[in-house]
Amino acid sequence: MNTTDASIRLAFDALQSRYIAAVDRQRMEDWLQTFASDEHAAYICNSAENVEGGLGIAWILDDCHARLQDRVTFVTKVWKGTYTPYKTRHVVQCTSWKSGPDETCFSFESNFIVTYTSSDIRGTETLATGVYLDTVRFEADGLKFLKKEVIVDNPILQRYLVFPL
Amino acid sequence: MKPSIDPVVRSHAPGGDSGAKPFKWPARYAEVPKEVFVRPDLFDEELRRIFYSNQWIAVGHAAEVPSEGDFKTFSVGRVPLIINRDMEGQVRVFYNSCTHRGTQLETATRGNRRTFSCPYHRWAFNPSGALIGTPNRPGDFPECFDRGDYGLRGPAVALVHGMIFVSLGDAPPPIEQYLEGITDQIAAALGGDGNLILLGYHKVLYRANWKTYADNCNYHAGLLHTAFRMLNWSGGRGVQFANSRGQRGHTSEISLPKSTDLLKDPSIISLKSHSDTQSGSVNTRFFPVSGISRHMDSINIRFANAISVDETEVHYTYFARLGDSDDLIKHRIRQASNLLGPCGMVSMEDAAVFHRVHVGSHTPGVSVFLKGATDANVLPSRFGQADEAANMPFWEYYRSLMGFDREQE
Repeated sequence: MNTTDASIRLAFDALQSRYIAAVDRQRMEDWLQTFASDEHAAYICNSAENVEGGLGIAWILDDCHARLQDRVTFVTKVWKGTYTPYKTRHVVQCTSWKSGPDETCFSFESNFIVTYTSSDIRGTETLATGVYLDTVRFEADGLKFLKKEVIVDNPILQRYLVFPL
Repeated sequence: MKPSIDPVVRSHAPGGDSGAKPFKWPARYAEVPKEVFVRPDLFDEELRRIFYSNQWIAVGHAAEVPSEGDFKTFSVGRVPLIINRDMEGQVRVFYNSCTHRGTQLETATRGNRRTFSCPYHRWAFNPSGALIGTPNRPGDFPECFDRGDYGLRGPAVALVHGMIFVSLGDAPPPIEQYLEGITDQIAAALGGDGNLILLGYHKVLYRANWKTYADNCNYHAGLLHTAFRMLNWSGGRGVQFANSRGQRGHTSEISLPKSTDLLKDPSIISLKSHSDTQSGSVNTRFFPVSGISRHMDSINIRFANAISVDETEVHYTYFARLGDSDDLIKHRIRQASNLLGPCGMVSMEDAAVFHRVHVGSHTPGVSVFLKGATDANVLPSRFGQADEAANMPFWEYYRSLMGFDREQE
């Protein structure tokens, strides 16, 4: 690994850590700040069943930056007071990365496990396991997600989702 | 353990010939004993008397298996099914079980197969269910063995506007009779007819009894869903009806907001497939638990199954219409993905409230219908657009199937 590779890995680890901290602390503005301000920046959360079947429906389909901003509005305003509060813990392990899909971007693949704790279940359970497919790019203010695609192993969601995975 | 005695719903001598613990139903039609949502001993009896009886259960739509060899798996209660299209183009439903030793034949949720092969003794079946391969050598099996006797078995099947219904009972009524006035509503909810294209699934497990889901889905938009109010998105006029099996139809006008400051991308709440805002929302609910909803451009069949007394699995299944432009299909995908299902802007709260209704149902007493239930002692047959009383025929049908006697006032 050369110095450039190491610096990219370090920058990505820092970005993923900021992302995890934002979602586990349920700070949606911080979550939004991990994405590039590019109008095409996207967050998509879907089941492996839909993805592998070539089906377009997703659990969450924020396919432009305006929709990312609207996700913040959903969680902080529209749904305020309507759901049973729950805590999540994300555990993420990068498994591979490469340059591309163009000369400005890098692609990372990571495994994730997300647990949740809520008063309406006994103890703590697994909310989701799966893979992050991240496309990242250096912006003026550091490395950001251009696209974060979350592919969940289980075709059946184990509860409703308020916060992004 | 000392048995608890519910102070409101008292135990009496067995009602009807129910195999469940003795049970009496309140005299008032508007009252449902909360006990019925949470008693584990009722669950197997419900499977026997409802899910495995002469009801017609919605399990799929033909558009989910559009090509020869396509299949999906689904269950009615604990009974696993293969729903597929054979090589002649016919939709079929089989029990997901090898006719030799009963092994589950297919484990994938969906796919395409020319042959269903059992891994245990290598029996092979074609998509028409015929047994086409056994590895036995001469003398292995009795002389009278005939592959023709061992084709895949299946429940009775009926198709209505592409909707696939099955009945696990011995003598189901004709499907037209069973659906009793809602076949046109099915077509309307699907956008005119059954010519659809599968767009994908939202599958979710709700921590709630199947009746909690059936009883609370489809009629409560105004108060629960904050998004409607925040978007200044008012419902208009509408109609609602229910048949004697508690199957409901509901059509209402949708008045879309002319402008909104709430969303940066309001394109997801536009109406692009038609301009008939009078029927902007068209719903059908089947007995016992599944239903169809068309909200704006999102065509959504909710195939639900009772997993246990406190778990219900729902497959929100989304469709476009055959002949849609690429732009319209993209719009339908964006709208359905962002507005509906267990993460949708106008429906996430459904899931949250199902859980809470179920937890609250462990307390004594009855759940009461008030809106539209002008006389609690009378089973109503006409309903206003948003009346919760339209659920009352469902409960009367449920009570009669379960053999629960009604108390006399």
